[in-house]
Amino acid sequence: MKIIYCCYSGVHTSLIAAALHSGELSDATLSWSALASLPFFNRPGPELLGCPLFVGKSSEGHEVYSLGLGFDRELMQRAMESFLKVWRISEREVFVVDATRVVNHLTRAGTFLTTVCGWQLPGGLLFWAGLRQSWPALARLVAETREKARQLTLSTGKGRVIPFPGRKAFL
Amino acid sequence: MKIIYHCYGGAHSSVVAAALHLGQLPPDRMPGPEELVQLPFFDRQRGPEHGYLRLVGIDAGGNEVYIIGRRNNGRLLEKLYYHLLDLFSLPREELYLANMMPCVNWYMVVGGFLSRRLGLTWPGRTIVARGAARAYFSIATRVERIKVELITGRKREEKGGSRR
Repeated sequence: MKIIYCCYSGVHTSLIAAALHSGELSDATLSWSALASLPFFNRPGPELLGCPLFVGKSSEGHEVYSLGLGFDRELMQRAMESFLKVWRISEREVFVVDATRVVNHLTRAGTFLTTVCGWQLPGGLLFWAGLRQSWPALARLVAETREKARQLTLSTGKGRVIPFPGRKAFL
Repeated sequence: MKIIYHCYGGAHSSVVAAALHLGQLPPDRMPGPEELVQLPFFDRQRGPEHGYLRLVGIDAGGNEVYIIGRRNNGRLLEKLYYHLLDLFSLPREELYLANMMPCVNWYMVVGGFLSRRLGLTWPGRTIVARGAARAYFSIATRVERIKVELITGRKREEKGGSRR
């Protein structure tokens, strides 16, 4: 199964969530140096939008990705959902999580400055300030996703086919 | 193969292009505004429906023809779709994305805005239908070029296959 965390840029919130999920980051400690060591973190510019970035494998063997969908995220999520439906890619193959639903305006502003304006330093600082506030919620989201993915794998492993329409995987 | 015609709202240029592709509109004669308005998806989609792929039909070659409204995210959509194909190990040749925005004129922009955004259906639809009629041969030429490209591409593949 592939687990894809989405956010505006793909190099901020979703990258951190994916790193938490795959164990590249620990949810117990939050440090700038740990974030800065993640590949692509806070990379300026829109080049990486639309590219699923492989972050690592979870302990259950799921491939974890980070994806930037730009500032029209809801539309792009619908386009992605539609694509998966048309290509008949089932829920047992992919699980998409919107990581931005747990972050605050400071993180959003930081992402905007880095991604759209290319201001890496002020963008990074704002993002950091916002992330410290929303860190527990982000860690909770990752824990919930891990559990849901585990349940999905177990239920599909027993042969229960999850109907595609209405993809509940979109949180 | 899946062919996706995309434009800002998925309501005008991509609908005409898909209809031309499927032979629902004649490529050599300009249809009247009433003929365009009768097309199933013409001037129908609104904001919340943007982003959904709509199957318009299957062409003579067995290709599925879709339309999608993607607002100003054309390049991002193309990038995302090709990366998703790679991610799920699906062949890139199975997807053709055609951006129809270069064929759109100001009549279509203004008419589409009035009809779809402001809800002024009657004046907006009248203007957009006139605009679509004006852009008709430009859309038809592009669609014909795509169809030729698809046929030559397939022939090239077949030749490549027979060599192997």
